[in-house]
Amino acid sequence: MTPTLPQAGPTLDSFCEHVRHSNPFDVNRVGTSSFLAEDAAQIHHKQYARLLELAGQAYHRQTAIGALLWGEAGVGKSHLLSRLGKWTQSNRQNAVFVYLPNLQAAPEQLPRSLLRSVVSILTRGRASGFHDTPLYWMVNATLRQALQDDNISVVTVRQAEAAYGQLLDDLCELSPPGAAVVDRPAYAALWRFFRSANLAAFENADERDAALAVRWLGGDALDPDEALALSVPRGPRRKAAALGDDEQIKKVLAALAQLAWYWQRPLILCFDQVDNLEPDQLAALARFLHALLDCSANLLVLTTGVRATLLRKRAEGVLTDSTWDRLAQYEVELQRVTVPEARQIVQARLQPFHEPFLGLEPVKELVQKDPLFPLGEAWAEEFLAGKIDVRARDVITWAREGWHRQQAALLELGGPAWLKGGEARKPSRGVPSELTETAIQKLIDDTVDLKLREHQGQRQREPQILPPDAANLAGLIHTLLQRCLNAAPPASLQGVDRLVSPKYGPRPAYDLILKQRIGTDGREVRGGVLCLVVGNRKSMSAGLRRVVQDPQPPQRFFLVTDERQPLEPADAGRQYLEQLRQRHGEQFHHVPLTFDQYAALDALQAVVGLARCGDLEIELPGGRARRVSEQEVVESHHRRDRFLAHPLLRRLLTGEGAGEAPASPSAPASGTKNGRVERETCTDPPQVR
Amino acid sequence: MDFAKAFDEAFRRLDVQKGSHNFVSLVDLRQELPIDRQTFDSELTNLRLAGRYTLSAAEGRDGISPQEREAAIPEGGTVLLYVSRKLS
Repeated sequence: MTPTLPQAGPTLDSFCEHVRHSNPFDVNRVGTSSFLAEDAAQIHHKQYARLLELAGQAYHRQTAIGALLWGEAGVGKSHLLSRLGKWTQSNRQNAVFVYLPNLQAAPEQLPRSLLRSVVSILTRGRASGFHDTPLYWMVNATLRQALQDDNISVVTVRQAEAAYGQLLDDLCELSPPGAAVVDRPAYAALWRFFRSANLAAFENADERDAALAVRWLGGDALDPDEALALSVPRGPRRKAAALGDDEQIKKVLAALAQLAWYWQRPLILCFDQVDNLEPDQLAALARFLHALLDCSANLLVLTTGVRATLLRKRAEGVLTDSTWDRLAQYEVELQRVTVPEARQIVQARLQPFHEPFLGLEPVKELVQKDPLFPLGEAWAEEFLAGKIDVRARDVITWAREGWHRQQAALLELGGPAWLKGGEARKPSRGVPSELTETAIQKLIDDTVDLKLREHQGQRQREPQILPPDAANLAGLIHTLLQRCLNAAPPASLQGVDRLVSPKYGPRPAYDLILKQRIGTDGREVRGGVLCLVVGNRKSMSAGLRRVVQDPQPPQRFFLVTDERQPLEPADAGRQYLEQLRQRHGEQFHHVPLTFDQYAALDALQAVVGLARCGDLEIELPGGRARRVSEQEVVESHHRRDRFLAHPLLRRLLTGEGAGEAPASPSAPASGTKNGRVERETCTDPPQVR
Repeated sequence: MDFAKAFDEAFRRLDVQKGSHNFVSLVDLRQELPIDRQTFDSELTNLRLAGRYTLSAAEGRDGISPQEREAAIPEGGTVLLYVSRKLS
């Protein structure tokens, strides 16, 4: 925490006020993307240096490296990642650092979802104004390399394009085994991205091509005319154009790593808390990363997790030996800290707190006499004496408890006496009282609330980490709804099935199928959920058409969209939409999610994930930590009605709006009039599941 | 019996068996070194104090077995189950 500086010059009164109203130990877990200013650099320094060395190795040897950062929960893994992130962003941005937490997409959609996140982060989640994003700089550096030029500032587009093409030829020739992975369409899209962003920035041209390239590179589908404009391969039979499969997705990521090399920085993909993933997700992610590592250069894939859990996953066969060997090519182990190191951690947080007040002689004297002031040696005696090694998180928890006690002492004694009295300032230890079950539940509820706020705040600060992504959204909703099966009324959800997209052939009409018991007679009602988060109107229409053509439509239909890619289908799509409205009547629910609502969903699951990894704890009296289990977080969500409080989940969980649900709506008749689409007019043959 | 020497050997053997991750369960170590619990714990504490080994908690989403709970060492409100050589 960074202390708020007193507005006027520091005084003893303002120092005391500062002690009373702030606590440098309030944050005991580094956020996913926030980099703490206070850091005891010598703690876990060897491991940190090792990570830098591996990143450097990936760059200098033009190779791909898998590294596993592991240790027990609370030992400082996220803190170390935070330090690494801070390093990558310091001075001249030492590395391209992509932090990927809380992936939620279904296994078969994980690679695309991962790519979407990477491109979103590299373009800072923007839809325009790309000229000062890392992706732009990466292509810019590649062009400079292509032009073999450090100083020329003006070249023609033709010169640049020719040089870029030559560079690609050289790239293929220089590394024959890798030539197969030099994906020309991907590089061509990157070139168009750069050219469009450049012209927009310097010649006020429109940035449409750059935006299209970002969508295509991120795995989204483009309409045929958009694909034509961007010169990327068009889809078959006038279908939308997109990266075809995981192989192509892998090649785009490999291209990004290559571009980062031209920018003279390693690409670091960082997967925090992978033990949080379900086994099938973890297996799919690991397989994909293994393949990516095998075809890339200048890439460090860094995964983190709890060691016991990851080893168990390996023993259970979730991770195959060959994949493990590739991802954990280098193991970087974090251990508990010694007592002297624990003191360093505390001092690192106290130092910036002291700093603004060191001009005050009494404060300066107190700090010189006892660097742990105001916690003091008495605190160290109580919490650290007799210990051999401790978790970094416990140290912060104990320090926070010590600070609370000083705040109480300050309130009781008043500033002058508190500052004077060594012994008086020494708070009585007392015997920590045991909390009742109700009190523990309240503590859990409050802690979960705090974590939810923190998580949402982080997402709001860096929305690019949570890009618009139907697969991620559907996975998230599925996971959350599973926590609500057979919950007490007004929830009425009995079952939720995720429909898997086949590798080949038509996609299912819905992402999820719900089963609910609704009404006084408790009749079973089915609901279909479609997350329609796409940036092109053709795909939007196709998604709606699949629902229209479902021969056995469920009674309720939920259409979930993301405000960043609003529902704006083409004419045909609008007609499908109208058909669906008519078919389902009151059972048609369009839920346009705001970013904040999406972030709230993400937070609900992320906090469960924290508990799953052993990273969520409450603080009991006396500075004791107690781990909160995954189940306890889910129970807390129910206790505080957090699922039902979310506007989307409320609709999905309850019979809200179910009113007069028809027993079973019939599929729309083909060839109807009054604005309805005739099936015969559809471009593609009807797709029936 | 030279506990430190026996412990080093047992740890090395088990660690290699488990893939050399510097991570050995107290369940296995206690089986390898059949001495009374009090002595084992006290000698292990000495090795920790000497900065040679460190312990970490039993954790993970799947919980721990009764056998693991029995072998673990309760400390500071948690149960320590795994032994690692202390990194220098």
